[in-house]
This record gives sequence, structure tokens and C-alpha cells, in this order.
Amino acid sequence: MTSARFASIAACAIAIAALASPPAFAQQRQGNNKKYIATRDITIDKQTGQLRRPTAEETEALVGQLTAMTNQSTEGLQETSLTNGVRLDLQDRFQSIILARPNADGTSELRCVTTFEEAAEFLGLVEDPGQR
Amino acid sequence: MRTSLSRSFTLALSAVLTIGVLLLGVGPAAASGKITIVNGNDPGVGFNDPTPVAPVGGNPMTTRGAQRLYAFQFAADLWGQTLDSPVEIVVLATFEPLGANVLGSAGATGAFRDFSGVGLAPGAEFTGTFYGAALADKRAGENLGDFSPDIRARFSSDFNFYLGVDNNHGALNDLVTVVLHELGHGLNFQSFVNTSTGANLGTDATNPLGFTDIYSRHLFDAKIGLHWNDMTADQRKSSALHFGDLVWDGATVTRDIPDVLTIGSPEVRVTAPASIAGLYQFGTAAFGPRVGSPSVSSTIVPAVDPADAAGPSTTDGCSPFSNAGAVAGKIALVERGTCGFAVKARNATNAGAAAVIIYNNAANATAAAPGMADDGVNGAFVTIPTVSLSRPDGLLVIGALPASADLRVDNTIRAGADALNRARLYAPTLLVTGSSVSHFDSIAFRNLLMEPAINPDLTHNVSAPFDLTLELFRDVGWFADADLDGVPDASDCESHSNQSKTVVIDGEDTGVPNTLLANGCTISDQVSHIEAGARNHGAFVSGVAHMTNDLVGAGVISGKQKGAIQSAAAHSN
Repeated sequence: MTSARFASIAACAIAIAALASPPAFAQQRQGNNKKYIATRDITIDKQTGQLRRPTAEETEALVGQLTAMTNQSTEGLQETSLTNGVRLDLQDRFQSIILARPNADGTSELRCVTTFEEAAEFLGLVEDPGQR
Repeated sequence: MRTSLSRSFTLALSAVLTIGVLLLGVGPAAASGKITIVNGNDPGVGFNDPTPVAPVGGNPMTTRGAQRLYAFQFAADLWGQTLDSPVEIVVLATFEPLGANVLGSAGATGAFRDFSGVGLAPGAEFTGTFYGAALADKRAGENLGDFSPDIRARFSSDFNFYLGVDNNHGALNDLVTVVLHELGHGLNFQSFVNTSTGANLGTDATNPLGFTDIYSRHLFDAKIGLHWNDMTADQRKSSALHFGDLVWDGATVTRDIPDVLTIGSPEVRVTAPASIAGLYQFGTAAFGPRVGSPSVSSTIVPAVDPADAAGPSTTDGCSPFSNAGAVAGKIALVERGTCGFAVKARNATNAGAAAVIIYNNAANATAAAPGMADDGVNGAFVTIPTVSLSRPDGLLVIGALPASADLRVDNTIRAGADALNRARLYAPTLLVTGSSVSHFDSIAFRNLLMEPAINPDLTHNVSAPFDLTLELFRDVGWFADADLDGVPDASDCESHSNQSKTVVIDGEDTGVPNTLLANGCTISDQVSHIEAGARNHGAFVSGVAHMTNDLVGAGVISGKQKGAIQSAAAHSN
């Protein structure tokens, strides 16, 4: 192992504490206060193995997760001046998310999204018309 | 590039020396294994899952965790073999429970701007421009700020990926392909603009404009006529939804598009009335013939069916059409909802329609024109092209009836490119804000790795004639540099430099440091080039004498070192 490689892995090991566990996005504030309902059967029931619509609780959890994972806000991101250049720690934002939408035949369609709107469209999550 | 002993060579060398010789140590030139996966999982889970499994598809590991890591590293190595970086790229990766529908995420951990190059590395191409961490390190020639890891990747431990590395995934989803895609984003197939607001990265109260990024510099909106770095935030927000008009204008992608994308772009064009005429974004079906097979040019007729148990409205097309006579030979228009897409298309087929358009219902009022899956039963009975439209577009047509449309293939352009052979980017016309611009358009064919959908027919190849991802990376600054000296191969005096520590001529070690010069050649390279161009031994010795004199003049070597090199040249065969 080269010294450069050792150094980078050592630095990475330090970074793991901040990045690895638990997922940082799970700790972020959920910025989407809208209520959504599921319009597609995207959940495989653990009891029956059949496709079904997610429950309200499952939908809410999914919306919260997707909202956090698709965070593209620059709010609070701090620049750091370096000896060579300027760094901006993205703090787990600007991530690309791979989603799966199961089909009845057991296969899954995959879609990569970067925004909540794309994720909601793909998974059939729509704003609850009765929320207001 | 090989050079011969000539006046032009001597002049060129002199120019290099005049501009400035870089007295550099010759660095290591490991050509592979530069992407390191750091396993961030705790014992017993994720990459450390001890569940026994049988080797599969070229993956020899025998636990689930080890198979995941092997496949992950396999994908990383595919990138490592194509991206020449003198700085190790570190990916912090984990497999963890992410829920039922989320398979993974990845992206750069940090962005850098306004950095210089160390040694011969070029540094940032543009000032005030953010680069993802891995690309920034490559162009800087160092690990900027000792920042690590460069990419963070999470994958779902709940999902049954195919863990072989032979792409023989069958009905499963191939982990190697998904990792290739996700690492692609982390390697800078990524805009750092907030597409919901149009704000650049680094925007805050003290810097309301923020800074553009290297990816966004190549995003060109043909409708607005500007690159994203020249737009206002509002223009970028709008541009992210300019279906068909947002293109990649990087020279490398544009050059290779003819080798990758097929001629013939499917399109839905409303031809009348003039008030709504034009191209429409559409979704395709996984059943029935493709758009253009055959081409259809006809009037649009809303289908009417009974409001019954199969479907509660007269526009949903869930029952046999009651106006089959009016629909026959025409383009049937049906509303989404209640029953599956394939049922509606089958009913349209049975009514004798030439094609069918399914527009979104109220429940999907803000959704883009959807891709339409088969239900495994009805799709086999569909013999006409089936496309979808967004609800606003569908209502637009209904409000303007009588209307006509063409469903055809434009054989003047390539699928996924515009008329100028620029790659289209994914910019769906959702009503709501927020769409990805960090993918190629899903209309591209052949299918590309960096489309939003991970298509099952993708290969593990990332460059032409199979793909355009490496080409895009070239455009953002991942220049080819086989010997990792910081000089792009295209302009390198020697793209595969002799990087021995000392100058050795015909087995005789001169003891003179084999210095890397500013043109990308080492002294040994220069000697080799002179040898290659020399007519005879005398010419070779003379050429070496000229070169070493120039090096002494430039202060690269001493007079004693010059003597050692000239002596070895004289002794050589």
C-alpha cells in the first residue's frame, strides 16, 4: 500500500464517523410538509408476497425519506478556503437516488432521480387533495 | 507523439525550456486500481453480511457481503481503468436498509473551485466554477485539502440485486450497472444547481449569484440560447423543464454521437389546429409496436366507452368503445385511470384505431407523460402504437378539437440528439418544479448508462460505440492522461513516458535524474525520440548532444550530468 493510499484511507476512516452511520439524510429536517397519498401498488406485502398500495404510514415515511435524500438546498453549506482553492462540503446533498418500482411479474423498473418531484411521479405519490 | 531529430524538434524543445522547465520528480504511474472502495459497514451487515451464497456470474465470493463488495469494486475498476487520475479516488460505501423502494444513492461529498494544478496538472479550467471532489483532485494533481472520501454511496441491503459481474442478470437488476451509473454521478455527471429554484451552488446572503459548476457550463438551452452559467436563476429553473431544447454541447459527446445513437427520433407532433401545433413530450409503452411502426398521420378522436364497473367514466377507455366507428382508422384519445394502460390500448386496437394517445387523469395532473408498463395479459393484443401525454397537453388537445397529429419517426435526427447532433438531456415538462438535468434524455437509443431509467439492455461499456458517458467526462475535464503526468495525452510530448528514476541509455545508467519536462516528456523520452529519428549512430549522438546542451542552458542538468548522458549515448549501440 502506498503512503498516499494509506493516508487517504486513514482520512476516510475519520470521515466514516461523520458519514457512515446512521445515514446522514435520516437526521435532516424533513422540509416537505405536504401530505401525499399513494396511487400505485409499489409495496410488496411481507405476509402475502403480493403487490399492494403502501399504507398511509408507509407513504409518509417514504415521502420523508425521499424529501431528505433529494435535498438540493445550499442553505447552511459553508465554504472553506484551502491553501489551494475553496471547498464546499455538500453534507449529503445533491445526491442521485435509485428507485425501484416493482411490477406484478416480479421484476422491477429502476429510475434514478435527483428531485422529490421526479421520485413522486415515478412512485405514484400525489398530493392528498383532502389535506386542505 | 514521436518526434524526429530535426531543427523543428530543437526549436520546440528550446521553447519548452524557455517557457519554463518543471523540475519534477517522476511520479508513480499505476494505471489501474485507482478507485478504492472503503467498506463503511459494521461487522455482520452490508458488505460484511456472512450469509453463505454460491459464486455467481464470475463473482467467486461465497458470502453475500463479499459478493456485494466484489461486484462494487468490479464496477469501480471499470471506471478506474478509463479515468486517468494521479490521485486515488475514494468511495465510502455501505449497504444498509433503505426501505422498500429506495435502492441507493450516491454523489460527490464535496465541491471545489478556484484551485491550481500541482506540477504539470492543469488545475481548474475556469475560475469561479465548482468541480466535484474526484475531478477536482485529478485536475489539481493532489488530494485537495486532504478531503476524503470523494464519493458517498449507499445501497439497499433489502433489494435482491444480481451480484454476478458478467451482466447475465436475467430478470434481476444488475448491481454492477447500477453502481456504474451511481458512481458516474459522483464522478461529475452532475449539476450542482438546485433545479427547483435555479440557484447555483454557494448561493447565500453574501453571494446571491453563487458559483456555476463545470457540468452546468455545458448545459445549453436552445430555446433560450444560453448556457446555464450565463442564465439567471429563474432562467435555469425554467430551462430544467425545456423538453427537447436542453442539450449538452460538449465537443467530445457531439463528436461521438453518430457512433452511438441511431438515426430516427420518434416524435408526437400535433399538426392542427395551428394554435396548438408542435412537438409534444410523450411517454412510450412497453407493449405494442414502437412509434413509427408504422407512422400514423390522422385526426384525433376522443374515445367514448360506457361508465360501468370496468371504469366509472366515459373517457377512461376501460370498456369496449361505443364510438368505434368514429375511432376506426383515427388516433384514439383516452384518459388514464382505473384500468391499466394495456387494457385501454387493447380496446383501441379492437375499435380499429390506428394509434392511441393516453393522457394523464386528474390524479396525475402534475405528472409527466408516463412510461406505460404491460400487465402481462393485454399487451400482447395491442397492434397499434401507444403513447402517453401529460394531463395539460391532453386537455390542450381536447380544448382545440378537431385536431390532427403525426406519430412518426424523424429520420433526419438521431434518437436522443437534436438537429445539430447535440445530446438531449432529461428535462421533462412537469408542471411542478424540479427535474433532473443530470441525465441523458430517456428518448436516447441505443440506451445509455446515464439515462434516468436503468435499462436491462445496458452493457458494462461506458464509451463509444456503446455509450457516451466517458465522452461527457472528457468534456467536463477528465482528460486522458495515460502516464498520469498531468499533461493531456492529446498534447503530451509522450503519452506513455519512460518514468525510470534515472536516465538509462542502452543499459548504461547515467545516474542523472530522469526529469519530467514541461512538455510532458522525460529526458529519457527525449533520448528515445532522438534515437527513433536518427539515421545512424552519429546522428543519435549529435542529437543527444544538442538536447543536453539545451538542458544545461535551461538549468535542468549540470555540465557533469550532460557529460554522463553524452558519454552513455556515445557508448550505445
